[in-house]
Amino acid sequence: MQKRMFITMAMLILAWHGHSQGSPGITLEMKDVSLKEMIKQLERLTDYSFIYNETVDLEQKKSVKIKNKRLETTLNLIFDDTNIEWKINQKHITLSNKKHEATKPKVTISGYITDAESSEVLIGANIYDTTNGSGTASNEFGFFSLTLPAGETELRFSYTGYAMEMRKINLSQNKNLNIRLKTNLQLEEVIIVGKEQQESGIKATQMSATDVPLNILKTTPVLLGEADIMKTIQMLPGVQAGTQGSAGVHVRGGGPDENLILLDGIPLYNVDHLLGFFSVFTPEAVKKVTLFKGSFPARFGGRLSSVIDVRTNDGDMYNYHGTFSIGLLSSKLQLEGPIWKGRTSFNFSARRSYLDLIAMPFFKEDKGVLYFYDLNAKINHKFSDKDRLFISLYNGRDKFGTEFHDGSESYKSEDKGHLNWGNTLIAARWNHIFSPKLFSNTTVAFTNYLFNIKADSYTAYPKEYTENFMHARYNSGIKDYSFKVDFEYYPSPKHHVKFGTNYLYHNFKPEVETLKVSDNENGEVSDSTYSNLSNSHIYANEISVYAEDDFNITSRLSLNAGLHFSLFNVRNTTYTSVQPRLSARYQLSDDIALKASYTKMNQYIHLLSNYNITLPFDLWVPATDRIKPMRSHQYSLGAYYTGLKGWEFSAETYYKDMRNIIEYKDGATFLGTSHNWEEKVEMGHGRSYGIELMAQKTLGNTTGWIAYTLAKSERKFDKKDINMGAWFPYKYDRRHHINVTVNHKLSERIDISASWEFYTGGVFTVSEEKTSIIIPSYEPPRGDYINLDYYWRGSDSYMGSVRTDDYIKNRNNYRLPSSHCLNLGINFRKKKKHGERIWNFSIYNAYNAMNPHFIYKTTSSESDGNYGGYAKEKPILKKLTIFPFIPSFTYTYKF
Amino acid sequence: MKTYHILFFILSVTVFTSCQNEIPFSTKHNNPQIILNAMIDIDDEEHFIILSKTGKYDIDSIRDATIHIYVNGTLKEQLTEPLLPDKSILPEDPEDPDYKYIHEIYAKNKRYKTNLRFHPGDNVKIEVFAENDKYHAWVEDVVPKPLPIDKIDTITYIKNQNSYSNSWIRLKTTFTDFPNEKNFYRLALVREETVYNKSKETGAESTFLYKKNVYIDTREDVVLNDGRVSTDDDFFAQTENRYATFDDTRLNGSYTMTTSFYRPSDVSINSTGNIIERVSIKFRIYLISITEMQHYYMRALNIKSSDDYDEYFSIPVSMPSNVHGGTGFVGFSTSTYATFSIPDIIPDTTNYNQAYYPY
Repeated sequence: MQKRMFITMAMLILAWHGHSQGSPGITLEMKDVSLKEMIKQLERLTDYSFIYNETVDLEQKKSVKIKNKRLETTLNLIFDDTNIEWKINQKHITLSNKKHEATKPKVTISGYITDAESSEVLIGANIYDTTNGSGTASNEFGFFSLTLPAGETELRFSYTGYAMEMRKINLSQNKNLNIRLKTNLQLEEVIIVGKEQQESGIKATQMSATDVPLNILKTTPVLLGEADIMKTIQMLPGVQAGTQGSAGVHVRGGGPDENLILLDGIPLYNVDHLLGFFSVFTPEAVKKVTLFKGSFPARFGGRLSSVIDVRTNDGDMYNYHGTFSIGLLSSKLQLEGPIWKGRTSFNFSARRSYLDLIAMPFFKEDKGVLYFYDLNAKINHKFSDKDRLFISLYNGRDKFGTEFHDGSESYKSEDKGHLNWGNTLIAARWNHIFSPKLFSNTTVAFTNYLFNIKADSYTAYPKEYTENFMHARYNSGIKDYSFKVDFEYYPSPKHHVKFGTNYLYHNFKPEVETLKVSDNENGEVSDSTYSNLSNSHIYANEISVYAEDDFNITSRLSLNAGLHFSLFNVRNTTYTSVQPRLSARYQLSDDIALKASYTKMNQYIHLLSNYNITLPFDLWVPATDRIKPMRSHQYSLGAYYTGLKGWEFSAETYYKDMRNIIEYKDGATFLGTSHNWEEKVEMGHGRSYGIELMAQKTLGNTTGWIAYTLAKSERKFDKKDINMGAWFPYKYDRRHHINVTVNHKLSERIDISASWEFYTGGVFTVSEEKTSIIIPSYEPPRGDYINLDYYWRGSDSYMGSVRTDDYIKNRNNYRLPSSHCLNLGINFRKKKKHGERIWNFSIYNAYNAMNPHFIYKTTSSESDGNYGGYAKEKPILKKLTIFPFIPSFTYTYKF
Repeated sequence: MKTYHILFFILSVTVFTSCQNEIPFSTKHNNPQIILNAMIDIDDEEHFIILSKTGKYDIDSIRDATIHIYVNGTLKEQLTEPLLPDKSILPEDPEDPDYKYIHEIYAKNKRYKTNLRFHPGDNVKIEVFAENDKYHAWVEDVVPKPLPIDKIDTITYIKNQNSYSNSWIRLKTTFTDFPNEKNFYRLALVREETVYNKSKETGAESTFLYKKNVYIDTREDVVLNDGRVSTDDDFFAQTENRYATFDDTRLNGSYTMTTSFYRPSDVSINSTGNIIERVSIKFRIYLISITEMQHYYMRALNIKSSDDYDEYFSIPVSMPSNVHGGTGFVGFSTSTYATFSIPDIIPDTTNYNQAYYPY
């Protein structure tokens, strides 16, 4: 019986040119029709005919929207979620009922995906079974596992920038398969597949996660030509720098301390160089960078706003090569190669800045140093296909020092001062494959962030036989010892389970000061040592356990559900937290996907900062019995479109609710000391919400993106000692942020790049009016003017105890003007006998926009005529622009 | 640390070619706020409430204000008339610039006097209506209870400062914090000096009494410095606790607080007609119980007067306010005190051209 009366069908047939790889495919759009109708339509479109018996139920109805797909994919989409399986045999397609799961043997194929030349593992490479329509992606160690029905199958391996590889395999038992993909410079020819269990990107179940394109990172013009991961991240929607030109990252209205920055999975605390204008990551040492700003995978915890996962190169297993680069700010050297061919490799990179050499003329007779350096070293040994060991080291420091000399015959003085801060990280990782379905990574690591000051002063009066020495020392920092085990379990292509545990032993050393003063008068020596501030170390234990499953419920709907449990113990106080993580993805059509997520995060450490920019003086302190851990709930929704070839469009919106965030009470600062900090801060409530739009071009000679963010971030403290308990804008609140980043390849030898950024003004606390403040009747005189007259309470001079002062009505009350900046760059590449040389010329702030880096209030000498005839100084704001038009060049040689 | 901040800043600015420019300071037109200020120590016989209005370039005077003072919910007093300048401080000539200036000061900061007596534990509300109810502000707080000083102890020592040696007195003040409650205090030291004079010409004797607040050095005490004591030579300077304010976080029962102050040891010489025969000096150390908000207010005053405050990097200090519907600060305090003396100073009588000026 014909049942076409129920059919509402629309068919769009474009072309069928066979089903050979790479040729145009089938386009078919049918709504609410029986499978029988569909296969008839397919028979009309193709040369194939279907064979099936009566037991196969083809009356069931379905809707499909297929655009330019291969036959196998089309069949998968039609028969997905049915009990029907298909097989192509020459020009016939046989349909049969699926065998029962228990009776159908399954085998697992697993292995590593690596670069064919260097054996560098590829993170996030796609593995797709074209026969069964299932797939997966390689993890952060390049490992993949895919369980499939036994029999002949065809696997497709692909990765951005690499040629796709097809393998026909007859599977009868579990199989280890290591794939070596070859580089393909023709980006436009690369087919990016992969909805399959990626953690980032549009195809992933998780949302608000982006792989930072390394080609953009290395070519985009930046300050002083110094390619910087954090500055590339700032170009993404939802992310902004606190101050223009700085490497600080503020994600979705969060603070600088709310980013979990991981170097090969190990957290770093301060990733800034040179007052925060550069980050510690050397791009040459980096393989992959992923930013998570919402929908955090369950394995991450400990920060509220973002996770920046930086993975470094493992080193070439077969060939020696490297990169040498010299620029205005720093020089870099990167080397990699085999220690034992095919078994052991190394990767080493070093960078040193030479600002001190540039600044030396300013010191004249005195001496000074100001530089930073980074060292990355990694050794990777492959014991077998099942076991790998990685040992890595990172050491980075900023050093600033001055040396002043003065003297005459009767007097001599020397003053030396040194500031020194940075990170050290030592880690060992062991990958072990327990079975084709179970992968593990065990990490043992030590990190040390330190900041110290050394100051020495020497004064002598030789004629009076008098000498004086002063030695001052200041230290603060954090040491972390960590142990973690992560497992990845692939029970079936529909499930990707991750679970593990992490233990962190924190040793906080907030501040330790010692001072030694020594006097020598006519040979009589007197020594005094003071421990003015000897904060005892604070030890804390942080344990977390997590589990998550990324599973495909149907061919259109996937879900990532996870749970992160954490425990933090400090000074007899224990906090626990159960943090659910949930994200879902629904493929509305071939080109449109929707996502939603909910994430809870906890943070057990706080950053005490007294300045408008991130500085090494800032102190990390743990949650205490009085100051509770911060926590956030984030809700996100997103829509994604990939219908235009080579383009990706995304729109995301979020709402983040934050609790127990800290701010200084009105009138409190940490000038000079962090002591009693718990009494100086208040816990409160924060909220941020916004919309992020992005259009990204990923293929072709022109790549880049346009990003727009509309956001708002506020704080409120219920107690009246901050802003009288009213909402006020967060100090990094900016309403609009636009970023345009474009790279264009003019030829094989020349590419040009440009980035333009516009953001509306941030907020700033400044007095706009005058008030009078009262001084208590017992106002103490200043120590250095103790013979001045002061007023005694109750006397008629009491009026003197009220004085006119600046009035700050609200915190962060003044919104600054908008800022914008255009950066331009050009790269000239030339193949040389032993490698490639690249000249990069770039201009930072091409049209010399005078953007504010620091703002301060002062007064102009002009009188204001409006003020009752009195000549009053008029308040004005001044901005300090540190980075005007700055041209730079970099020479790089790759060998 | 400030030295390093500045060095850092200068170096950065030097290395990166920096530019300074004025940016538009387009302050929005904010409606003026009523300013309500008072520091009420319940041991004083009279208290002053000072009213004014915020303004763009200067404070402004407020008109037709009425102040209601409630104690434990009962209206106790209503003030409407501000004080006028005392004639003793006004020049006789109304054309004298000082005459105009003093009147202007009094107009901008209108003072209202009350002789109400408050008691520890009283809930005091001060409510202000002004300019036909255009302005309405109020503050409400509880008067803290006094904490007795258990004992004091002093010792004189020699302190070297800038190549000079001076006599200083180290003062140890012992008290016992109230347990199981959060308390806030501050110390203040007052010097009372009685100068006994004799006229050079007539031989007539006269006596003058001076009272002065005394600078106290708080840097030696752990509680007064959040656990971080320091010295004159301290390289890592911190904000000096000039207002000697503290809370009981580090107190557990009895505590002896260490402070020090300059010991006057001589008199200055002046060519007046009196001979100073002797100077009798008495000190009074006050232990003042204050409210929590007043503690933070005092801390803010400490920072405002600190040399460490840096206009480029530091976050501007916002003065805490407990005034609803306006701004300003009203503090309530209760004090106890202990007195001690030092031996009288007997000037060198062979020099006839001397007069005492408190040091």
